[in-house]
Amino acid sequence: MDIREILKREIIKELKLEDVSPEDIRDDAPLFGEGLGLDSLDAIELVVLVQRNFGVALDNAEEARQAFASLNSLAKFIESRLAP
Amino acid sequence: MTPFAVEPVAASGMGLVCAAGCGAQAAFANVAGGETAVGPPPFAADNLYPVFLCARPAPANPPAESSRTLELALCAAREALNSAQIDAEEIPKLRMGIALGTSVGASLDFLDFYSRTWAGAKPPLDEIDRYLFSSPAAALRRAFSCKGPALAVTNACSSGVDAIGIAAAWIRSGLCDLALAGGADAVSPVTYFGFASLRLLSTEACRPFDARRSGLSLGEGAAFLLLESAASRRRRGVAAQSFVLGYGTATDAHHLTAPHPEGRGLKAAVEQSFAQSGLGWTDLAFVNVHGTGTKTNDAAEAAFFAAHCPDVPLSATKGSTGHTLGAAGAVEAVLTACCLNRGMLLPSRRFQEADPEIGIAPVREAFDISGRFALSQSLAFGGNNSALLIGRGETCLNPQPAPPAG
Amino acid sequence: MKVTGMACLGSFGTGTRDLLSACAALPAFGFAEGRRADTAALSGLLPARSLRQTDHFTRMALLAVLKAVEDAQDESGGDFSGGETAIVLASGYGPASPTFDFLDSLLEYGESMASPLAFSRSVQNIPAATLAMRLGLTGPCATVCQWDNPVAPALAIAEQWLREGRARRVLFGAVDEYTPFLAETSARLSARKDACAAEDRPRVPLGEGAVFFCLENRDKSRFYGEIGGIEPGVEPERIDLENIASPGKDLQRKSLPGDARRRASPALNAPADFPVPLWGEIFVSGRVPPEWAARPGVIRALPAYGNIPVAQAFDLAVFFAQAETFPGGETACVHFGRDGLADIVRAAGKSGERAA
Repeated sequence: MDIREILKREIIKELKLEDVSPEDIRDDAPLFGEGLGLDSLDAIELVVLVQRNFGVALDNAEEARQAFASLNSLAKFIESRLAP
Repeated sequence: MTPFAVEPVAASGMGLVCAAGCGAQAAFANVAGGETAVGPPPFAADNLYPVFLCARPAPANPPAESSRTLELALCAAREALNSAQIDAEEIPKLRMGIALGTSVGASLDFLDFYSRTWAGAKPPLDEIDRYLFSSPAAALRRAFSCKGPALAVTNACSSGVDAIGIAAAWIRSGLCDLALAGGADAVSPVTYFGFASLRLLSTEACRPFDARRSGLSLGEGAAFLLLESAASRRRRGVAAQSFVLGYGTATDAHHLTAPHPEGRGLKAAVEQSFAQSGLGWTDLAFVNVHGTGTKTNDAAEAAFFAAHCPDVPLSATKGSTGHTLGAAGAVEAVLTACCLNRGMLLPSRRFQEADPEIGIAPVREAFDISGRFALSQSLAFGGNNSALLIGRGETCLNPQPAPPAG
Repeated sequence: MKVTGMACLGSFGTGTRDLLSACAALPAFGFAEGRRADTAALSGLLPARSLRQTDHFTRMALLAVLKAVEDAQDESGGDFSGGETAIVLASGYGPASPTFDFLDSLLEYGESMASPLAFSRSVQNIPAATLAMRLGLTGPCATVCQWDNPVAPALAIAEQWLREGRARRVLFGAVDEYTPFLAETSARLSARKDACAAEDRPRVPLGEGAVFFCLENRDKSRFYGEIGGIEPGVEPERIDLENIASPGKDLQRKSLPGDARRRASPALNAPADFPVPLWGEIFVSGRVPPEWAARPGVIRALPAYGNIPVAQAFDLAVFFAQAETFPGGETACVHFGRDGLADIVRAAGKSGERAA
């Protein structure tokens, strides 16, 4: 499955976005604030979620901040870490 | 809101057990100049996040249903009763309450039982019995056969301060004549892995306020003040070892797990403790800060001091005790009382390099103090902030002990 | 302390009317085993998206506190935000479902990948903190969590905070939650032959619910009655049975004689099948000694709302629910602890004019 699809499914499930379907999450829309409306508590869960599903650690705060800009940027970050 | 001014409430005894030592004297000496035990928790294979553990408190052979939190609490409570010269046989005749701050001690903390049930088994109910038996405030009341309120305050990391502040009001209003007031917490796998999941634990022993601080270290411990009414102290002829002069508590209503960056609720809590005691910043010999070693806690506390009283000496003792959660406020209240009585401010162990981003630093070395009053403060999850204004005991102010009751 | 607002929900239903109907079935159970409190009404009060991370325990507390505030504001208005309003929350088990959610994540994903969101929600004071954030309250806030009666000592905190001038009003809540794991475990405890740890309580199936009172010291034209005479940790043999409902000096004694009670009963606006008002009687909970359980005029209302550590707060709610229609009596709610000591909370209904 595509990284973006897994991310959408897991974000909806773990961050309890029960009223959102995967199609509603635009790849380029911001995850936090105006976009999907996630907050700082969600951010920590998102770090764990990425590690759980992809084995990719987001330990650096600045890296995490950039990766969390949108679903696209997060997927690209994971891809770059998974690349051999 | 600003509370009314109140009379001080005396503590005629105190007890403390933590990684720095078993007994208030021993712990004080080790924070001042010795070493404390830091190592892996017993339930984790690696030493990823070291914790501060006590040498197992005496006496041995606790009942099977007892929890580690309860054993720590019993150890510190017995010391407090001894130092107040209260005989065990005397207690059932006294109106003595228990106010205890805890976190682990009140949790549904039976991971083994739960995991076996989760896996489809029907495990024996021993762990559930332990949870029921060792509900800490009720268990202490039962253990000492005292008659009075039994209260477990669970305001996360400010619980210990809150228990003491609440019990002081019990004494003033006559709800009871004496109260064991403090806190207790063990290090449990649930809180350990929980704090780890929040990325709040340090991979080395914590360094409160240090530029290189990277999180908190959990610790286990328990501490109590034995609060006692003036009439009861006169009757028994015992001196005050310390005084609770004021207590304040306020909520940030800002964030569920992070403090308000300027310490909004902390300011209100400190002001309440000033209002109750009639004291202010210039009366303080020092402040025992919360100082967990996390980036956000220490920054919020520093911002608060920079704005309100940049010159007051700060002492951060979690580098010697770890963060004992629900016990922390009580552990630090006892250490604060010891500092005032001995005229010595405790050093902030493991603090080495000031953080230029926060601009405020606690004291590195112990030094002599002459003041009579100090503040001990705690900040908690959920935006709880609590402050306790503590006064030097009369054993120091007046070398003549109170006359024995006729 | 005057009770100026009140709201409750639980396994028995929603609101004081449902609570009284459940009491009408006594001594039969007034709730269906495993029934959860209905918090759907919250979505009409707060944006649904803002509730997505709010667990069931906190939802119950939130709905009850919002309804209690609404009730208290009905005539008096008053600003509930800011530093003048305190929160005191009592619970036996604390937020149980977030705790078990966290344990689930720990077991399912491993020690290094457990859910931080679930852990933060499992900390005992987070529900009260959530209430403070929602209502914009920056006053004192305390959570009391102990399975052996958190209610009386928590009410004592509310009383002292009002007396000390820390708050103008206290939103006092008592909440406990049903989970299948807790239900199964308490059933196992009560089925055990040596029921030493099992208490009397688990023989009634586990219930859940939340009750909130708005407590104030000021004179108000509209209030249900008063709570006072709080005495935690009393030896039962020292309780003066004849005068137990004779309150401390902070409450006025206004007891109706038994036949006046019965005469008034048909005129009540209470449910039609409500047999005898639970009024002017003594409510008991916890490990009730046999000699107390057998005493006439002693009510054990637990079967109405389920096995719940915060029973004493529901006892008070049952009492005050009738104050609207049947004023001028008093009660004592007595909880017997595991060590045999009793926690006493006294209450008196407002006399006269509030009667419909």
